[in-house]
Amino acid sequence: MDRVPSRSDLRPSIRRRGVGVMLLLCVASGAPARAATFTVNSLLDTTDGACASAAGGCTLREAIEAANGAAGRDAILFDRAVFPSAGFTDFITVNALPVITDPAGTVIDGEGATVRLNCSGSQHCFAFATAPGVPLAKVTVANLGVLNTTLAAIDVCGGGPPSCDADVSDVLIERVAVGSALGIRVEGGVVSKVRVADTIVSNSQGGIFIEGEDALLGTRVERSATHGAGGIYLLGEGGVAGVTIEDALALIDGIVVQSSADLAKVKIADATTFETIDSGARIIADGTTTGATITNVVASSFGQSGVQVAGAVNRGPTMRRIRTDRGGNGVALVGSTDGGKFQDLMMVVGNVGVAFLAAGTSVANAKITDVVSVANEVGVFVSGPANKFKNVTAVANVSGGIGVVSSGGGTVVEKSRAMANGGPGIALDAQGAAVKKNVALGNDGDLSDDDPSCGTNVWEKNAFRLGSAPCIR
Amino acid sequence: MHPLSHAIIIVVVTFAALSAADARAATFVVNTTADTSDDGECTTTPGGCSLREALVASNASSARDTIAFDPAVFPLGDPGVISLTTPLPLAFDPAGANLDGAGAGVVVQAGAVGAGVDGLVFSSGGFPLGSVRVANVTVRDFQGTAVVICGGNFPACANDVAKPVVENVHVSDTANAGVAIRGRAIGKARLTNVVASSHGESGIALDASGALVATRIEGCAVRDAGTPQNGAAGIQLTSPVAITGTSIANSVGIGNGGPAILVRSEGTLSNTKLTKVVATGNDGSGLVIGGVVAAAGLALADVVAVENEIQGVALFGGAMTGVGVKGLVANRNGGAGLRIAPSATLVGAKIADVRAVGNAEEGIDFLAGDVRGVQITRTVVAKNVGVGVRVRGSSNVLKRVRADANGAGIHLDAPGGGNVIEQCHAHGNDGVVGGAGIRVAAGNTGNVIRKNAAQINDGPNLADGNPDCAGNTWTDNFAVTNAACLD
Repeated sequence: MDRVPSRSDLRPSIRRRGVGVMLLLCVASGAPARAATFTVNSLLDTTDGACASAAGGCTLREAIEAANGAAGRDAILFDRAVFPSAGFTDFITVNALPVITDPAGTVIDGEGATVRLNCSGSQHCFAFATAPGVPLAKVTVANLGVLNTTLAAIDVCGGGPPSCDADVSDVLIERVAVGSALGIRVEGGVVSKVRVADTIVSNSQGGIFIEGEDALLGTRVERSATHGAGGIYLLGEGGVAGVTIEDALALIDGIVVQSSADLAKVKIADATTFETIDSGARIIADGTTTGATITNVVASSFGQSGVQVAGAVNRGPTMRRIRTDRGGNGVALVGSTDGGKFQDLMMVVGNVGVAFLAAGTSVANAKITDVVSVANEVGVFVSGPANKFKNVTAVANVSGGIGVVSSGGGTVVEKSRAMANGGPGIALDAQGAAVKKNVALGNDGDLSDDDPSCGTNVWEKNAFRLGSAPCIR
Repeated sequence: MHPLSHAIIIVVVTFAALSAADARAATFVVNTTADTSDDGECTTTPGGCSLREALVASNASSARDTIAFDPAVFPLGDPGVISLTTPLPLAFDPAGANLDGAGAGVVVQAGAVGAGVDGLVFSSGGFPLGSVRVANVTVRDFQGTAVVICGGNFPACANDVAKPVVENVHVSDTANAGVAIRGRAIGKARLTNVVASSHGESGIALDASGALVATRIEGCAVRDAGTPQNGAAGIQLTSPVAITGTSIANSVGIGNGGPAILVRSEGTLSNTKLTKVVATGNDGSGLVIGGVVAAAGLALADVVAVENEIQGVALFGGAMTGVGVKGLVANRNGGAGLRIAPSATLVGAKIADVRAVGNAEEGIDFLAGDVRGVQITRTVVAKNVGVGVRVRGSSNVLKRVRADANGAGIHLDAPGGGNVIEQCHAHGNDGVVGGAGIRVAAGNTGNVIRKNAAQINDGPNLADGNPDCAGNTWTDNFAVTNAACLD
């Protein structure tokens, strides 16, 4: 589990909430001593008001009622004799189950058993909610399958619906399968330390949705997949910090980590997206993104960007080992970006927009290396000063290979290739740039400088046939 | 003598001969764009040396001469265009030649020459051909091939070729190939920064009647070469004997009539490495690589093969050893993402960090043959119409493979045994091939399937074709199962 981010990661308002979370954790840590365990030993959906250990004496409904009636972080387990781990395919058909209301949290764990719930079209299978203003902590749902709900199959709501504005912390959803339902939702004020692991949401109209209305902190989704609408969507309206999505697959809808304010230390790694309506993987903030990292992501067939980092200001984003094909912008930066490393990107075929987009005010001081753009509308286009391009390859892009716009100095384009592009191979609209040791062949204009005298730009040791000015060498 | 030994000796002998010859080499500077041969001589007076005259002069000189171009006549950035009136003479010096437009802008175009005529042709008249270098020129519009490097008499090309170099060259719009290197044994060919577009046959073709040794292709782009009718590859390396020591890196093949890259030995293939290669929109497969008799030491790293008509990557061989595929992305191809087809045996392949998504057949498939010791790790196969990963044989390991939303997830086909599947995911598979999550076929026994997750598949999440899972161990899997022996 990720650590709760340090104070330096957060804005002051969020830091105060973070301290509150830590205090809550201290209080909650005393709860397990009073916890009880209720073992479901019936396939029925009845209740006589008691969860008894006698054979057939405890239905799931009775176990939830008992847990709600007991203080502490109780556990609901399943009798392996009734729910054998192998050779057992029955669904438990249940109508709307009671909301699980203990603020100390509850464990529902089918480990060692086979537990599958058909929730009969009720809103949720498992709904966790506290009273208004009461934080919710330590919810665990593990080792079971759920289906057939009209809203989120597993719903964790701090403070209760519809506002879900009390804090939520220490949620674990692990080895859960959700089918034919609206996925998983965790929502609260400050939401922290949520972990979703080895979970599949399939045939669904909703994915994995985690929202902190005040902040989303220290959350991790790993080894999980969504096969339906909704994708993996993590939102912190007041800020996001310390969020990781790793080893994930998203089909139809992609992966989004979003903040309505600032965002820090967010990482999407080892992910695959396919046929996503919007983008493949995005880290976006209305405010500043700091240290946004996207690595080893493959996005194929997407509506907008393959991967994207977007903020009013982006500080030091990292994109590494990205592969995109068929969609809008292959790799996109949006906003004013300072610094950052963009390495080992391969953007191929049919990106209708620009393959490597730097939109907004500018991108400055970035290192763009080992980038390949093939058969996109434009190969690589960056606007801003002092960016370093090295070993960039742009081939067969419709409107051009490598385009740089910079009113400042310090741009360097070196040891790159631009071949068979439908527009200029390497085009500068810049001052103080150095373009050297590149190869530009077979383009509709190999090398181009917007200034016929090249101004303060230096072109040297390039291999090319067609240049827009004699000063290009 | 082993054919490779023969090839290496030829390369060494030829290189030694060239070293002596270079001392007598001359440089002829082309200083006119006109295609004339008014006095048959290449002189330094303005307009006194056409390309035709330079070739004639070079042929008369028994050394590896250089043909250069006057930048005043062929300005860099605003190239001088030589438009031919008749076919150029063959260059036929066995010592080779160096035709280099460095510092200049040079275009040689077919002009008035017609059907079947090639552009620049280098041959060696019944002797091995050494050290031809063609650099920094554009050659276009020929009804034949733009640049031919031919060991021996042209067009038979029955002698060896050593150290041909083509770099910073653009060839386009030819009826045949872009660049063709033909000979008996071909050694140490280097093609760097070659752009080949719109050819009736291959963009780059190395065709050896003997062995093809130590070829290096770096930074080349081939598009729209070959027609679907002839199926020529963008980059095509062929030998009836052996291909060894091939390296292709940072290169692209797009929209070709056959595969982007074909490396095919009718005998053996060894020590082949492809790194950072993109193959997309080809009418054939993305890459087709193999040796009919044997293929050893075949390494692919960071290859992207998307939207090709057949397989993304197809590897084949008789006996296959030492196959490594790392970082492959093979998406939305008309066949399988990665298909490995040993006709006899495949031993010891390592496949890691592969993504194969949205292919019309399998994601990763081992077709036929006896497959042993394959490791597939950290791999995602999803939305493939066929099985996500299909393996047959024994002692193979699949670890951290995710096979979701395919026609079926992971299949161990028979015969085989002793395989391990662990920490894999197989969810939501739902296709016409059964939709099972993880399936072991009848006759494949002694396998261990543990710590996997398989849920919400249309077929069984876990399936064993053997009665009572005989000989297979299923433990600690997160799945709903229909047989007690599955866990």
